[in-house]
Amino acid sequence: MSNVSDITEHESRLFLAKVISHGVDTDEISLERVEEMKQEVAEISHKLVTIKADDFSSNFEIKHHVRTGIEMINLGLEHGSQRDIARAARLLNKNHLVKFFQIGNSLKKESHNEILGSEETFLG
Amino acid sequence: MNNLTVFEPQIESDTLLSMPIAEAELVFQGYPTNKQLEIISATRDPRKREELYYFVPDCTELIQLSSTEDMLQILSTSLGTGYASILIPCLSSNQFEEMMDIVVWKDGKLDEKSLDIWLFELSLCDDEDLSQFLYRIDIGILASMLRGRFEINSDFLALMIESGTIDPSSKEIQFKDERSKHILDAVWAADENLFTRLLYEVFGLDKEELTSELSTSLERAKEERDQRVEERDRQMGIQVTEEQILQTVDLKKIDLEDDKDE
Repeated sequence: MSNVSDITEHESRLFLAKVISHGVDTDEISLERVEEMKQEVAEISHKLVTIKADDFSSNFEIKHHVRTGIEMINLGLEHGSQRDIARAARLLNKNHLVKFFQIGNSLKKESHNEILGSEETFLG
Repeated sequence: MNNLTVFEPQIESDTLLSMPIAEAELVFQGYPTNKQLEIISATRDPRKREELYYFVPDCTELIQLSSTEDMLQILSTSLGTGYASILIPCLSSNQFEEMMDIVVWKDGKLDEKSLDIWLFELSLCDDEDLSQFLYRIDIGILASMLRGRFEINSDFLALMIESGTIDPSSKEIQFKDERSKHILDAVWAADENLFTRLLYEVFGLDKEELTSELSTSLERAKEERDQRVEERDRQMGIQVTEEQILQTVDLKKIDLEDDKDE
């Protein structure tokens, strides 16, 4: 299971980690797919850092962007699967992780806009 | 027992950095280039990594063989202090261009603050280095950053620029901040033709629709930059694009492939 934990080692309680763990245990997700997902996470993280980072010398900031990437993938997977582990495993097998990232990112933006909207209403 | 020793770059790096400098230089210089690079690459703290480069008399080759991301991390530790200008001349033109493609654009938009800091560091380099690197920054980007930061008070603006009778010390130029003067001084010192072209871009001469032309020039710069980034990513095996990262989806129409759909 060390391969699996590589992807989400910072947070084993994430839904994403649970799904991968479950999928590998039940042979629904192959180790080959786990390797592919590691590459996909690395690519998303790399792009996020180059797009978002203010200070490239800050390991803290770089780690923050990597963590954000994984959290967005996790959020997107939760939303896309409605937290159904079996369905989530199937989705992970069939979709590039960037799709979950996009869903997670869209959810985050939507909730951010909602908060801003409610603040404006509150402030009147 | 045999005499085989395992080469652990990270341990070697720690050992070298704890040695007296003269001794460390001797040991480091005794390694072939590939081992030196391995040690450098294994040193994750950018400040410590920078120290290793100084263990050789001329670190240009080592720097140019290092990854752009690693060098960017090192340079970022001293950006804005003037010290980054010591290492910038060691970069290859391609490394510099790759860095600009990363640092000058944020979230798909021009990051003028970042460009300003980089230009400040560049302006401290000598004229030859400056000229080499300035050409790697799209003129549309330079113009966009300098627009509105200086004025030329003359009824014959186009004529003055065209005839080359204007330079940063001309009394007709009024700067709104010191940094923009410093940058224009540097451009002038590096290349007078580039200076003239830059003024053309800044003031949008010979162009009917000034605003739209200027934004087109920036869009073109962005397009060219995107193509370079995609090409580099392809070479590195990265398939995820910036566009995909920045793209949001309609949450009511999520398009995911599911086994059950088949």
